[in-house]
Parts: sequence; structure tokens; C-alpha cells
Amino acid sequence: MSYWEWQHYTPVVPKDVKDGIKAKSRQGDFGETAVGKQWISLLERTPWSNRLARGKRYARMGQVRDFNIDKGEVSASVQGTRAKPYKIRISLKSFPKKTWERLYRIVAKNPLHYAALKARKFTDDFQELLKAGGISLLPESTRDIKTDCSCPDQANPCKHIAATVYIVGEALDENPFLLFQMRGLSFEDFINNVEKLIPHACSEEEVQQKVIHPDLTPKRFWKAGAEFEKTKTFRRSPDVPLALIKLLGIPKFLPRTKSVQGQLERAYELALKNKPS
Amino acid sequence: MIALHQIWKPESMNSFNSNFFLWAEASCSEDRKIIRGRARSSFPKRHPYQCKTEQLKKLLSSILRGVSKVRGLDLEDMKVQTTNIFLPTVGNVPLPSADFFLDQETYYELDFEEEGEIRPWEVEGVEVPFTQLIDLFLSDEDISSEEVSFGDDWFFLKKLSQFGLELLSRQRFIPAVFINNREEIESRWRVFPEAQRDYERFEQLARSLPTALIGGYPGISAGNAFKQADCLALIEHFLSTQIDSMMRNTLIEDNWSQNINPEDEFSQWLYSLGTAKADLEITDRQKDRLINSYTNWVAVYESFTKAHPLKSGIQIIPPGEPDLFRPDNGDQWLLQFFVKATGQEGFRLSTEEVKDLDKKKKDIILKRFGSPEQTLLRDLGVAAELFSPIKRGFESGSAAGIPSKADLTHDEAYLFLKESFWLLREAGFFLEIPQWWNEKTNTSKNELSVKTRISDPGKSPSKVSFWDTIVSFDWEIAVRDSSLSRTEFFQLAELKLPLVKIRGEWIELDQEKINNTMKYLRGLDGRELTVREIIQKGILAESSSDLLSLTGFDFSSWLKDFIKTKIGFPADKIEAPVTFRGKLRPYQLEGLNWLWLIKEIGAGGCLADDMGLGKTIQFIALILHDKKLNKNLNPYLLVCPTSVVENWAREIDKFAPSLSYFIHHGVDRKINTARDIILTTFGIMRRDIDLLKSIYWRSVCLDESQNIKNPNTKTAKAARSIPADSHFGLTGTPVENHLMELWSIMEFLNPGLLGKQKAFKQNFMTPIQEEGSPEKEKLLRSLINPFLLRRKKSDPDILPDLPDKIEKKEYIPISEEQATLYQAVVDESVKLLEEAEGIEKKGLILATITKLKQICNHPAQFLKDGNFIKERSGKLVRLTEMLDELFEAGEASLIFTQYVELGRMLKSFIQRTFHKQVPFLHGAVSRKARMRMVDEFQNGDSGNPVFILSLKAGGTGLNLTRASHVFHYDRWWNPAVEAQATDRTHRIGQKKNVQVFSFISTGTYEEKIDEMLEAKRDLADRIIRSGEKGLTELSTEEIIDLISYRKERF
Repeated sequence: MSYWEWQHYTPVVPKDVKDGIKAKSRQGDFGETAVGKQWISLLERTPWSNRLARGKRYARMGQVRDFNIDKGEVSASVQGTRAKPYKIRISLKSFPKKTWERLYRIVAKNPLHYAALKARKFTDDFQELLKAGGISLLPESTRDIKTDCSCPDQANPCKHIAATVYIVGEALDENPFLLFQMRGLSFEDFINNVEKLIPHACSEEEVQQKVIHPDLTPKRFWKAGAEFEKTKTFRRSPDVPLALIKLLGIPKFLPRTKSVQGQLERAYELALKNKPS
Repeated sequence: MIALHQIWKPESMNSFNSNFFLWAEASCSEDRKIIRGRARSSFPKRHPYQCKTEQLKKLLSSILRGVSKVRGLDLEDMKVQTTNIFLPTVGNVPLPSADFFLDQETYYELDFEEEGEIRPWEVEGVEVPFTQLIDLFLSDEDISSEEVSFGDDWFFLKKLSQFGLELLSRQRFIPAVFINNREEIESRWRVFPEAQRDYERFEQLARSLPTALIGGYPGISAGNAFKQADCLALIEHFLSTQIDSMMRNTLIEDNWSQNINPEDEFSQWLYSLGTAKADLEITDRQKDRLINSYTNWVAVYESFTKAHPLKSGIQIIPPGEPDLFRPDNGDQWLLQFFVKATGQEGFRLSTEEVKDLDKKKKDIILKRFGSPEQTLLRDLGVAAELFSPIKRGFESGSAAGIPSKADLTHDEAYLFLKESFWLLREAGFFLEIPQWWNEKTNTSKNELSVKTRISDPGKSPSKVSFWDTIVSFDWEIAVRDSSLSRTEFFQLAELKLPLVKIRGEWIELDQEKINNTMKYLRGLDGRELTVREIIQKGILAESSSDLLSLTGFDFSSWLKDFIKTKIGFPADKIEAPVTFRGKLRPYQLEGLNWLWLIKEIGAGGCLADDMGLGKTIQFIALILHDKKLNKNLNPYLLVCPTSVVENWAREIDKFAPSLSYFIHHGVDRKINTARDIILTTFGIMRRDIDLLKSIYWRSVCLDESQNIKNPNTKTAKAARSIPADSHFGLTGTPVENHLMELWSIMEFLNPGLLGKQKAFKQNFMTPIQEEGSPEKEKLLRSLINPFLLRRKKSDPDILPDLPDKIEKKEYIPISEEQATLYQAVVDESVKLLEEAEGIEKKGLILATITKLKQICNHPAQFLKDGNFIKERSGKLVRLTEMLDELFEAGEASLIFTQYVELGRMLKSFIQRTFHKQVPFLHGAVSRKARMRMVDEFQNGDSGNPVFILSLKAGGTGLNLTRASHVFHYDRWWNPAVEAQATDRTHRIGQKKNVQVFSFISTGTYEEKIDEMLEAKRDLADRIIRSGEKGLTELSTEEIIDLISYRKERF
């Protein structure tokens, strides 16, 4: 960064955003997962590196007010120095119908991947599988992606676009299935379409929530039912400590700061103190 | 008395704000007129028999005073509220929680089942914050009170919150983003149950919820809305509310939130989870983001917390071979997958079976449960993430693509059993593991164990107690029933495999345990130990996790062998001693043999036969037998409750007149040790312990040994300190149900057997009561079984030995007050009698007898002072003790009396004392009410195991076969009338035998008449013929002799 640029840049303090999206990443690199990293690497291949650093700063300050993914397009609103926030658009190539159909067939033939997707796991293997079929959900080069910002900066990406890319990258860390949306089809629709191709696996019907109504006969009004006596409770410690954290994972939506990470585990450990004498 | 009730009132199902509304029923006041029949006036009306709020507050503060857990619950500050609750109603009468809140006749005449309609009632009560009442429910402190009765609603909430505590301590909860009833966002902790183990209990609790508990639920405004309420959702919401409030309290105390910088909506959410303020002040955009992210976070496992109709399961199958000592290139370990219907026994389909389903069956399953293929794919996708070898199942899947099995390596299989199994189960999968794997201990059930052999080298002196017998000790390593050579054992120790198959059994090898055990055994090798040391070391090893278990030592069977060689039992059965005046039934003879055996080996034993099986005479026979074989014995010390001292004395007189005894009682107490038996009470034992300790006894026997159930009381300590050759306990309550009581009694009988109190808690009580460990229970049983003989009347071995009806007289001393009143009446009557003649005399005699009878029953009946407490009457003390024992055993009984006023007093006394509904049938009870009383009693509907009858009303035409015990509280003196009453229990259909207890106050005219009846004197006939009128023909001397009080023994 040259002295001139520094001079030019310092007075530009963007307007504060009350409820902007604050990046989880507090320092260093962005991108927690493979998908997130790949997404960001696209941006970082461009020459405007000073815009990247500013974009990161914007992302961390919460200048991205909001973003929305719809049919192959990410639209975002980023607060800069002007009163009116800038409009950003990042468009990806939507997959044509043919590509989607090929994708359905690939997944339908691979029950492991189908099951993993049902379990909302986005694996590297899945990406490999698609690659082998000549498909990539993520844009492979800057040519696959078009960006646009309403700010006066000639650079593309400008810091606003960069900030949006970083924030979207974190969203992909949290939920890589947004990629489907970016390519023009929601993940739910995708899975439903795959299901149609799987033999025997008829579409799952809505499971009705079980309801147990109170017993209104006078006999039961004041009395507990027959099963009450045999219902046992135990005071015991967990079979697997922190099992639910192990299953669900620490929520990715929490800021990745030292003070926050580890707090949940601590809360679960404190719960164990709740044993009566 | 009042019955306290709680209504749980969440603000709504979308709110974590909730309170408990406390109100109480009180006895129906006299002035309130109960109108039966159809209701004419409009509802809600004021509840007719509710406790006034001021009284409720007073009672609440008196019960809560002692509970330290209930912090800051200020009753004075509590808002008094009026609320509507819904109850089944007939006329203007709401269904009470028990009959004692209405007059009995009204209660039994109203037919709530048939005519009851759900109507709102206005009740007054106080609102208590959720957390504070939860603290009370979780408190172990005893808050029972004679004035307050707790109903099922109380016990239900208590169990529900215990369940909440369990889920909390098992960490089955998550932080959640919650949208409240005002569409605002809150941070809440909520329950996240495990689909298999927890959800079943959710449903059980939902199905057994006492409806009254939600009778004031805000969503419920009328009967119809009530029907729609979802108990399952209520239970879940209750538990979430509890966990949220407990977690917040814990985190606030820890200043947990201080570490979190609430810089964005996500960290704000986390921050507020550790504060009292749950609502988040964030913008709509932030709300949306928070909800989206949270939903995405829990998406996969959310469905796993609910009992899906279909759920996948995983079965692990070990290879058939190889066996370590029969090597072979066997099969692989295998995982197999299946689907199972939750809560539907027997519905289980393996993947193969799913593939082979024909269309018809498939359609049925689809309709009822959903798609099994989808279930497998969805679930196994998750499972594969938790245990990656499952992925292989997909690769080897058939064209249809549903995985059916996956091969595992040896190490993977071990990892699965040891670790992944647990996490998969927490995730909600059905898991089937080999029988030999023990989930509780997370190790193989087949253990290498140290089989110990104990033999008697004959080195001990012949008369030493078996505890101090010196035995020699040898060991070998065993797997189940087969033993390993030492070479094989060393070979094993060299292996690095965690799981091995030996002699066809899978074993987990723990090198460290093996090494420790080797060291431990080397220390014992070749040493000679006493039996006591052996037992104690056995327990020690069992509780120590770093040794192989010493379970090879089967105490019971070893003891049997030991006894066989040492004493020659059971070859030489002893017979009832000739000095025993009576006949022992076969099981009683067996009991005598057992008592003798215990005595001979110098141990201690507890005879815990059911009430009425004759524990007393079995013990008397033991003393006789001992006397026959041994001359110049030290005396037996017999300790019992005051109410049965007389009974003992009479039983000895009757069955063993050759035995001399001395009752150590009264003011000026000295012991005459030149008797065979010294009888005393628990109270005197405690007071005179120094004196009793100074004598060496042949044996100490505690009758009703539950009197030392608390091991830390002075009584229990005193009992343990009395030196004797052997110790016995007699009790009719099942001691093994109360572990601390069991320890206390065993410590008296066989000191050291169960270890120290603290160790016992740790080794047995906690694992059995809190973790439900069957192994520990088994071990405990094997330790106590040799020293505990419990026969139940219903035992098929006992029943044929019993006559249909056993009649027993209960000789009961009267209280001091009774004696004083009795004497006063006698003195006055004697004076009058000497002057009276003719009709006047006859009237006087009858009046006197009536007065004396009332005094023997209870002074309150005579004085009409309304103070019907048990201490004033010997009979009532004894009745309470016996009912206590019967309730514990779940037996039903009838109580007959001639007096309606006494029946009423007994009814309310038993209700007050045991909080049970007690019907009382007397002449004025209508036919309709009578029928319902009998039906309810017979069906056991209201759980009322006592039925009081006035002798006249209840004598005929009733069928009360549920009762197996009959009490004649006062006497009619006509065996035919009494027998007829007794036969209420004894009609066709009675499978149990019936015990009849006739209460007789010792030293009074009651005992005298009884003696006359026994002696079949001429007078007896007259009394039988014409009741007490027969007495009016006695001469003045005779009548004075009859009524005068003989204070011989006490």
C-alpha cells in the first residue's frame, strides 16, 4: 500500500450499520470449510489485493447489511461512506435443465452420497463425484462469475464486492447447500427430484406428530395412570460426555473468537453440577 | 387435614414463563349444602370444600420451613389469586381427590363416572414461581406432615422434575432460538431427548398425567378445549422450562456470560443464555438470520429426538470363529442394518427383508410407518458420519442401493463396541450388540475372573463362630465355568488384542487389570484367613475397578458346603422340641431349622416372614431347642415394641411354659439373669444400654427389627453394642426394599458383612438405586440371602400348609391413661354395685361394661373429647403398627367394631395417618353407597386397602374377598357372630388365606372373658348365647373379680 493510497483512504469511514452481518472470522484468513475456501479463492485470484484487505475489514465491521440468494444470483446491500448503501450483484451461471438431470442421475446411482446429502453432509467425495461427471457446483474460474457494484470505484472487485464474497463464503461454511440455490435450484427441490429416480424409495410422507390427549374420565382426574409407577428416572452422568455437541457440532454461526468458542462446552460441564446432594 | 394441589400454568405453549398455582381441598364444612342431581345454576361457582387461603399459606410455610432448597420463597408476599379449574362435577359437587373431603355418604352416592360433567370451579390459591417449586420437588428433605396430604399430582410433578434433572445431568439439552407467543425471539435451553430411551418415558408420562394437574391450563377454557390438549407437548415443554431455568441459574452463578462479547446477534443469543433475560433486542433482519442459522444447525438431529414411526438400527455380529485356543481363519465381524417401528414390539425388518417385501405388504407399511428404504438411507447417512466403516455398506449394497451390511476389522469392531455404540445411541439409533457385551459397564460380560477355592484346614477351634473360622485360600483364573491353565493365562497376558475369544466366549482383555490382579493374588497366596476377612476382601475386590473380579467366590453355596461339613446340616433335621406345646407347621419347622443353623454357625439372621406366619413361635421353639441341648445357658434378650411385650409373654406361657422369663420394664429396673429370657422394649434398651451391655447374652433378638431402620439412631447403635453369641431380627416388612434399613439390620446381625456404611452407599446403594445395576443387586442378594429368610403367605410352598383361616389373639397392654380411667370406673362401679339390686344392678353392670369397653378402645371414645391420637390407646398403637406393615406388603384388611362413633374416629385417624381413603360401612349407609363402597374396595380402584365395618351392618351379605386380614378391634364375645363377619373375606374366590386378629386389652375384663371362653366355663355359654347381658346374672363378687384390673406384668 503506497503512502498516496493511505492518504486517499483514511478519511473514508463507512457509515455504521446496526444490524449488519458481522464476519465470524476475526483475524487472518477466511474460509473454514473446503467449500468456503474454494469460494474465497476465486476472489483472491484477482489482482486487486488492496480491495481484498478492505473488503475483509468491511466484512468484519458488519458493513454487509444483508444478502439474498435467488436463482443463480447473490444480491447484497453493503453500507459504504454514502448514505445510501451500494447494491452488489454476484451472478453465477445457472445450470441448464440438462445438467441438473445429469446431476440427479449421478446422485441417484450413488446411495452413499444420496444418504449423506439426506443427512445434510456435503463431502469432498461428493464434489469429486460431480467433478468426475464434469460438473462443478462452485464456479471454477472468475469467468464463471459476474460481479457488479453500484459504487463509484472502478476496481472490480471493489471492497464492497469483496466484503460480500467473504460473507457469502462464511454462509457457505455454515450451509454449503446454498450452492444449489446459487445454481438455480433449491437443495430441497434437488433432493426431491433425485428421490423420484431411486427405485422403491417412495417419497417420504409427512410424519404426523404424535399427540396424547388427557384422560378425561373422572377415575383418572386426580390419579396418575397405570404406567406412572413403572416410569423410572435415574440420576446419572452422560454415557458420552458432550454427546450433543459431538453430534451437532459447535454452531458455525458463532463468532470464531476465543471467548465464544469453548463456552458451550463449559455450559454443559456446569450442568453436571446440578446433581442434588 | 388438607390435600395440597398444584396446577402447572405456563403462560402459553409458546412461552417459557410459567407458574404453579397452589390450592388445597379441605374437609367440607358443615354449613355448605351439597346438592345432588343435575346442576341448575351457572358455572363457574365457588369450589365448596376448598381450604381458605390464609390457612393454606400457614400450612405451606410450616412444611416449607425445613426445606433449605426453597430459597427466598416468601409466602407472605405471594399473591392470592382466584382461578378457574376444571373438574368432573355432579350437581353442585366437584369430584374430590379423596372421599374425605366430602361426607362419605355424598361421595359414595354420587356417580361421577356415569354422570360427571367437566365444569369450571372457582378456587382461591397462591401462585409460586416455577423455579422455586422445582427446587422443592427435587429436594430430598422430608416435608410430610400430618396435616397435609399429597396426591398423585404432587408425586407426578416430583417424578417429572426428577426426569428433568436426569436429562440435565445427562446433557440431553441444547441451546435454542425460541419464538415466543408474541413472535419475539428468545434464547432458551431446551430438552433434546434421545429417541429410544427417553421418548418412551415421555409417552409414559404423557399417558399417565393426572388430568387435574392441567385443569387450570390457560388454553383450556371448556371441556372441549381440554380434550384437545396435548400431554406429550406439555411434558416436553415442562422439561424444557425446567432445564432452561436450572441452566440459567447455574450459569448466572458462574458468571458464565462474562466471557462472551455480545457483538452480533449470534453472540448476543449465546450471552443471554447465561442471564435471566431471555428476550433478544435485535432487528428483524438479525432475527431472520438467527432463526435460519439455528434451524440449519439442528436440522439433521431434530428429527432424531422424536419417535419417528420407523427408525434404523445397527446390529454387530461377531465372527463365529476363531477361538484363541482353537485358531482358525474365520469370518469377519459384521454390521447389519435394519428398520424397526418405535414402540411397536416385534416389527423389525432387515435390509434384505425390506428388499423382498411384496407390494401389498409394502403398501401397508408405507401407509402406517412410511418408507423403510427412505428411513434407512436417511439414518445410515448420518450413522456413516459417526462411524465411517458403515460407508462400506453402501458400496457393497445391491442395485437398489440400500445398504444391508458392512464388514469390520477386529479393531473397528472393538471401537464400535467401546465408543461409537454410545454416540450412535445418543443419536437415537436402535443398536443390537452381542449378549456378552455389557452396556452398563462398557465391557464384556464374560470376564476373566479369579475363581477362589476356600477350604477348611480344620485349624480352628471347634466352637469358634464361623466368622472367625480359619480357612485356606487357593485360586485359578476362569472364564465363566471353564478355567485356564496358568500357562494359558500368561499367554493371554502377552496378547495385545483388546477382544479375544477363549473357550467360545468373548473377553475383553485389560492388561492393567491383569497385572494388578497378579500382584494382589500373590499377596494372598498361601495365607490363612478368617471367613470375615475373605468376605470383606471379596467386597473390596468387587468395588475396585483395577482388579479382575473375585466373583468366583459364591458365598451362598460355599456357606452351604461349609455348614454341611462343619455341622452336618441339612442331613440331621431337627424336630420341634418336645417341650413345645403345640404343633409347628412344615414351613415353621423349616424356619426353626434355619434359625438353629444360623445360631450354630454363630452368625445372625433375620426371619422376615409375612405377618401371621408365626415368627414368634418359631423363635420360641429355637430357644426350647437350645435349652434342650445346652444346660446353664446365658439368657436370651428379646427386644420388642411396647405394644407386643404382653403378646410375647402370653405366647411363651402358651407354647413354652417350661421357659422362665422376666419383663425388664417399669420404673425401678433390675435384671434377673437367672431366667431363660429377658423381655424388654426398644425404649428401655436405649435407656439401659449400659446395663444390658454388661451382660453377655446367649442371643439378642429384635422383634419388629424395622425399629432400627435408621442406623444412626441411638436405638440402632445401642442394639449393635450388646454382646451375644448370636443375633436375630424378626420383621414382617420386606427389608430388602430399603437398602439403608437392610444395612442397619445386617450390621446388627453380621457386623462387617456389607462393609462400612459409607462404602455400602458407594458400592451398593448408589449403583442399585440410582443406576439400577442388576449386577450389584445380584451380588448384594448373594451376600444377604444366607442370613435372610422371608416367606410370603402367597408362596406356593407355604399356602398349602396354611389353614384357610388363622385366628390369633393380640394381647395389648393399655396405656397409663386408659389404666387410670379404667380403675376409676371400676372403683366407682364397685361402690355402686355393692348397694344395687335387681334391674338396677343389671343396668349398672351393662353400663360399666360399656364404659370399660370404650376405655379399652380409646379414651376419646369414653371421654368424648375428640382427641383421637394413637398414644392414648394401646390398641390403636398396635393397629397402626400392623397396618403399617400390611400397607408395606400391599395387603388389604377389614376392621370390625361395634361402635359407629369409634368407626368414624378410626376412619379419620387412618386417613390422616396413612393418607388413604377408608370406607366405613355402618347401618345408616344407603344401599347405593354401600354397593359402591364394596365395588371400589373389591376392585382396588381407589387403592384403599382398609375397610371399616360396624359389626352389625357388615356382618352379613357382603363380599369382601380382597381383604386377607381381619381385625376385631373390640369384641362381641360371640364366636358365631365374629366368624360370620370374618367370612366376608372368605367367600368363594378368596385364594389367599385369611388372618384374623382379635384385640384383647391385657389385665382388663376383656382378657378375663377371653380366658373364660377358652376354659369353656358355664358362664361362657351364657355370654355366647346372650352377649354381655349374660354377665348381668353374675354375683357381685364375680362381677367385681371380672372387671378389676390386674396389673401383674406392667
